Amino acid sequence: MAARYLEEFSVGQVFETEPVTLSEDDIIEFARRYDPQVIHTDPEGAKDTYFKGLIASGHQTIGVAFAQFIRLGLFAENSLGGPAMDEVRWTAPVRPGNALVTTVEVLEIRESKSRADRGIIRLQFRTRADGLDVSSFTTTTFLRRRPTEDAA
Amino acid sequence: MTGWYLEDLTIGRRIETEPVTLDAEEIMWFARQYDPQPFHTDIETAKDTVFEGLIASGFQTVAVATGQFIRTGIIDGNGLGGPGLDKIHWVAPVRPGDTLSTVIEVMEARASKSDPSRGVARLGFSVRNATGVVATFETIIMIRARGESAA
Repeated sequence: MAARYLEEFSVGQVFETEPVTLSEDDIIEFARRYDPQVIHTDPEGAKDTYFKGLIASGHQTIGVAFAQFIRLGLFAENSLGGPAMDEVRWTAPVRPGNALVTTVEVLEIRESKSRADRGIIRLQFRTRADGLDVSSFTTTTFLRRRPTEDAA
Repeated sequence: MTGWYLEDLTIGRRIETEPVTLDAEEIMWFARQYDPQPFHTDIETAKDTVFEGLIASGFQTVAVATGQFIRTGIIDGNGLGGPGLDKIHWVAPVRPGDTLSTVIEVMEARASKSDPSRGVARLGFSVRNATGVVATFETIIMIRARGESAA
């Protein structure tokens, strides 16, 4: 999909990402750096925990969901960075080989009062693993508005 | 450090993580997988963006702070998972070579009504580089309670 300006999004639009899977190695490599707990780093040790096996760090799950959205190409060079995220919830474990698919809904669009070249878009992410809800979060991003003719 | 129990999480108690430095390699490694935007994935391309150079993904900043929190050992053996995060704010960019340290403060802690052997706590994270705060967020954790002397 081609990159869009703020004006080309509308509240209620829904996009769906391509599916992606995390291997056991992906899960362990991430967790050794960013979430070093037995449930995320040690397939054997994880069997003796409440989760009865290796599960992905929730931080990895939300990163994967966001990356898959970016790969749709809708923001591309029009994103000016994101100041915030909220309401991150991990409701069920993600295991090696699960197919992760994320739907992204436009919650809110606002023009910036101080900067005429940009606005703010809020998105609701919902990720399923093999069809089951596993996580959700909202993001806030600064996005370029379409340049006006007389600015050229 | 041995793990804390719910009762050790008194409101206002603070712990500081060990500092950690992010280099350009790690910033790009993370971003290519989890946040593939031009200001995160490539030193050269990043120069032509609004940030005028490479910056770390905000997801990575939060993850780094979480990793350093886990390494404090305070939830070793007693942590029962985390249901979520709230109010993540990225207030300043993180650049290659920045050294990040995080102060974590107990905001709430209460016993579970349905299962008094555990509780839920809310921890406020404030991540800083050499010039000031770069990110803040809240983490919810579930943790074992020490409970009354079982004997």
